[in-house]
Amino acid sequence: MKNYIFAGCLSLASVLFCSCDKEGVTMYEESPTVYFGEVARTYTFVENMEHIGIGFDTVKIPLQISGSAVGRLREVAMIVAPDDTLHTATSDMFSIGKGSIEAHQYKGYIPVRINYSNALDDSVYQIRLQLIANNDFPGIDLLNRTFTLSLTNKITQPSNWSRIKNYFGPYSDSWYRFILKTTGLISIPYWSTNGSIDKNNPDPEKWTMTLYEVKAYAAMVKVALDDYNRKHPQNQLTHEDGPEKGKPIIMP
Amino acid sequence: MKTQKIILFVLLVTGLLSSCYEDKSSLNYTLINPINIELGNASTDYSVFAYDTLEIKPIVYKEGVNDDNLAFRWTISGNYIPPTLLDTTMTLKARIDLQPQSIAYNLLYEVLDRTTGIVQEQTFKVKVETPFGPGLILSETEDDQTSDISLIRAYNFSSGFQKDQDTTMRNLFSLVNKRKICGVGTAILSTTYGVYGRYLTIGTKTSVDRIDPFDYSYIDGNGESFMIDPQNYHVSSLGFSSNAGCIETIVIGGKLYTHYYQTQAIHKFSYYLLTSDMTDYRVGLSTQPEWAYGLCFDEMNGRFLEINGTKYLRVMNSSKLEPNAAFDPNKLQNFTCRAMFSGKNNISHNILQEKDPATGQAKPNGKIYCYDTQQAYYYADPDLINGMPSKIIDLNEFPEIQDALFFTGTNNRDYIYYATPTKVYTIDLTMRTATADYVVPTTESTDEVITSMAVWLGNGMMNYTNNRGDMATTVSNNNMLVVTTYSPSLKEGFVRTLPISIYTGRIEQNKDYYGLFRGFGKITATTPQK
Repeated sequence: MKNYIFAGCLSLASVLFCSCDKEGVTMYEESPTVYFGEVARTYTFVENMEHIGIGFDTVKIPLQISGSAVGRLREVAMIVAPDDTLHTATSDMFSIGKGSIEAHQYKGYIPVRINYSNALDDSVYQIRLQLIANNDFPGIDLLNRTFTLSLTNKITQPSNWSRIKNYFGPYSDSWYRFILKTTGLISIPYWSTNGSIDKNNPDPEKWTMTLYEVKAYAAMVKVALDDYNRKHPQNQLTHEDGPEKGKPIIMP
Repeated sequence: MKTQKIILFVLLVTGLLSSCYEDKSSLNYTLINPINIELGNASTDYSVFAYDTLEIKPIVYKEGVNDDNLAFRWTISGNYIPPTLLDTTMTLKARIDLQPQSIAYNLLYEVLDRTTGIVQEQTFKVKVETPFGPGLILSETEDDQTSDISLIRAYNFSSGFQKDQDTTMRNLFSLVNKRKICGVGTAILSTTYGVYGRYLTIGTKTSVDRIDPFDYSYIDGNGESFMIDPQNYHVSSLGFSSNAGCIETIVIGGKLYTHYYQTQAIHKFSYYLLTSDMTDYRVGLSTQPEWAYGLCFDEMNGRFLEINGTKYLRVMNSSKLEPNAAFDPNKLQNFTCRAMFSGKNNISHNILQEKDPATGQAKPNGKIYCYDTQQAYYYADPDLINGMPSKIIDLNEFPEIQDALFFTGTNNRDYIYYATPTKVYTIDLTMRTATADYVVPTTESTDEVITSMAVWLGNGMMNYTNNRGDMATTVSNNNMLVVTTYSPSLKEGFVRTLPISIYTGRIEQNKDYYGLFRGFGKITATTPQK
């Protein structure tokens, strides 16, 4: 009995001492995950003529992360999507560089070197890319999306057309050629309202144009289209290719 | 059992004795003396010119603590600057190398008691002012080829100024930018919006220049001021819509371009506005009412067009005119527009004169009329109201109207003022009378002529004669005419301010209340700096 009482007192004292233990606050840490900042990109040497002579160019595919920024550079790994039937580019057309997220950053790039070849002059080739897990990013895009990088030396629908079609209307190669000729631009690098300073811009270096500039260029094109149609009343400007082929060009 | 009783008894006694223990845990504290920051009767709001020294001398103490054990930090932030340490002594004395802004900076004063680690804070507001503050900006030329910008800060044009403080700062553009403006100023406009929208736009027949009105530093010019280079910089008019979209407009080569102020992203003029029916146009003059969308006159087609924000120039819908409408705003092909300005009761006065179809210029002795159009809030149904006809006022009966060079009016009186080379007339639209209320004096020279006239829409005060014949004082905004004159023989330009009586609407007759600023070249354009 004496032993029971002693044991009881000891247990009580233990419990009391346990309550004095200082418990540290456990912070929630999200597993670092990396994903593509865009879903597709079209690269045409038409917009980068000087690189035909150089023989290659580099496309920086934008990356974003979830989880916290950390105080060191983190590497990102990417491969060609295995057994992807949409992948048509040959291995000599490109090479994948080393991607990274710089210290204290939530965005980064993974470079892909694009080699020019005559095959691109009349065709569009696709590179299908997937991110893979590594030590720095054990988590990758939860949706497991495959990034499509289209290569060509033809004029082709830019990957941001859905963002500018409200100002220029439906796409066709002939219409896009008219737009570029009228504006003197090689592309319309618009992503979101405030251009490079927008926080949601996945690639501020590429998507530099503001909405106000898009509207200005759209007005300029509208004047040129109207002028063309007035000079050619019997032969108004039409889409020469694509789904709208044969239809007159109408700007919103 | 006996042992158990003993143990129980010992526990009971222990429990009883412990209740006698004095718990000192809640008594173990010492009252800490506060850190006192005393400002006396001084305000926490300060105002300082940029690059000037700011001094604040609070009395700081803590009883029982030596000053050596106190540490101080004066940190300034706000207006998108990173927090910047200004001083680490008890009293602040620091040069404020910050950009002048219309919004005050936040100054945080922290006093640290090193003995306890406790920090006491005091906040201040510091408004950094520009020495080039509110006043009248003018473009002047001495060689009819190049221009410069000067600023008058005076009782009539600037808040808080006494007459003996009137100051003229000449040739500020060349002083800061080491060159003249390439051309004679045709229009200038100074506008400020928030922190990032601050432009003084200067137009000539061959150039556009934009500078910061707070320090006159160069921003951009010609093609760089536009998203798409118009490659033609013949500026005929500038305007600013403060409430209907906050849009600056510039008319170049007859096309109207807009600059949207409420953005941080880009501050360039857009492509010129297209008309709502895609017809071509050539704008001469435009007007920007306070709350309605602006209006402009298309000289090519003889019609009014509404400046629909940054979207387009809206062609008026003639089919929506009332059956008894005073006129059709699309059928004014026989006229050229001489002036556009706001009148009383949300009316725009548009002075039209018959034109010579061959030259497109006003016909000599061509009839002059005031075509009034309605103004409506920009968010009301503009298709039905804004820019629609109100009435036609025949001005031809008024004296020397054929010699009139300039027209203007205020939006709170039913009066129109017109200037011939040497006189200013007041038209009382109710009584349909015109009186020559002001004649350019010949005291300086006999050849001094009027070169511009505008209602003052800036800061400052003015004096006038009240209904008892005494001197009264009121704000000059919307109550004063600014008339510029030039004497070829003296090669000197003058600025003359003419108060408008708030009782009669006519120009004040007591010449003691007129303002005179002289010593300029030929003044070709003016704008208020607010």
